[in-house]
Amino acid sequence: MQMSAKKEWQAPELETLNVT
Amino acid sequence: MSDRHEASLTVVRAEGNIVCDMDGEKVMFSVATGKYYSLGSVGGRIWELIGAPIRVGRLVDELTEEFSVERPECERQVRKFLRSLKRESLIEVHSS
Repeated sequence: MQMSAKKEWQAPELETLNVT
Repeated sequence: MSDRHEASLTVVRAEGNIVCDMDGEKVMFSVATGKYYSLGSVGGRIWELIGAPIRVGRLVDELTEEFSVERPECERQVRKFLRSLKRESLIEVHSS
């Protein structure tokens, strides 16, 4: 059985965004 | 707070957030705080997984199965991310 490749990990981060 | 205790906590999304996908990353508007946030791609996946109450330990299990990351690193970074969500009242945390 072939194992599916794992996705690349990036440290999760909460970013606050500013706002025609 | 000990790692073991924190891993046994249950987290779930708070109500009142509007989320959309932008270029594979989740962007959110909190009605409560009036702020916009970017969760990024991994943060967006975590947001999906906490749609229903889930223990932090189980959340890390899911992520280490799905992503190429060692468990200790994943656990540390996920706990930090969850604390930032909690600070902004974007999640609810309950003792199991």
